[in-house]
Amino acid sequence: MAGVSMSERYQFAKFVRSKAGHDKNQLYIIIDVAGDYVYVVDGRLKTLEKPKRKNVKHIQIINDIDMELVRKRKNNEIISNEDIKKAIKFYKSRIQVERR
Amino acid sequence: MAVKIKSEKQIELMKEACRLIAITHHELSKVLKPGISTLDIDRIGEEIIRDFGCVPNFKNYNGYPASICVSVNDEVVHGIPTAKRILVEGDIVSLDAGLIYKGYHSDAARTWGIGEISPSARQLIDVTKQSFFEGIKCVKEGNHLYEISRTIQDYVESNGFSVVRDLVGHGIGTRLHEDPQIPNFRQKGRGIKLQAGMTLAIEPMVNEGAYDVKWLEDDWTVVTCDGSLSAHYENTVLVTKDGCEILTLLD
Repeated sequence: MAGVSMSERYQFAKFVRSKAGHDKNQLYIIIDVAGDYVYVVDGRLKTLEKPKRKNVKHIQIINDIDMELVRKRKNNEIISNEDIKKAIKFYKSRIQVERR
Repeated sequence: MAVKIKSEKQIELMKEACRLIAITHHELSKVLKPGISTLDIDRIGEEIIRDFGCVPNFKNYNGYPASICVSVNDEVVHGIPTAKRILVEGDIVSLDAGLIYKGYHSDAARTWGIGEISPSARQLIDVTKQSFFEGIKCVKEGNHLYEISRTIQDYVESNGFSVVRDLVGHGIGTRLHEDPQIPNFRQKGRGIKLQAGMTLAIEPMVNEGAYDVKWLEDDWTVVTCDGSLSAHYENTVLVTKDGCEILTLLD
């Protein structure tokens, strides 16, 4: 039985929520994956220059991906911490609309 | 990520588990003919495995409801057997099966044609099988894992087909899925260094058209997005000092 690829499950620009640690419930965006760990950022405290390394067991995947970040990366455009903050802000506003 | 190195005793148990699944595949290949339902294949497969005194390891694995994955035509892997799906002449069917023998797992897959199949379907099955054998040429103590990935992709694409990205091979032992993950396509870096005593399930999944796949609503069945045919070939192999040993092939 084939396994599900880590790099596909923990895709670039996917949203995740921290399940454990002092940052519990914090919303992040995945930027990289290595072994059992993913590198996540929020653009504010955890920046692209210094991402947070988290065990995949300690995050909850949200099946939502920021297409703007994906597009930028595809076109080799520079992604800044501002872009990350914008993506998170946009995601939060979207789920608020859905809750209403 | 910790890849387990098996002791000689453990390797003996793995070998037996793998030999038994190879026999299961051999027996299953004989019952494939037009008119058989995919559920029948699952029943027969489970019976063979239980007759060995073993347990099918797919059953209830993360909630998978059957013992044998039966994937027809555009289904890539993890097809769920049903009484409604009847094989007809010209279909290609991938059977993926595994069992547990004294706590040790084996895993292997084959793709078969039902009756007369189109030349392109035949070529797809042959290229998929051969890509596995190309890949394992790189398996040897001291080599790096992603050399296998690269070799498989290069061989498949030079034949005009594509390799699935979303699903990967895996280490195997006391659990069905152990580290490392073994992608069938180029990776950044070289991957871990292979060591004698590692047991790996290498499994290229090859599509006739584009490599994109999607999951159906049952959350298991993976199909090609463009509806093209897909084939699967897998063996459990043991890394040795000067190469590898394929454990799930009969002599």
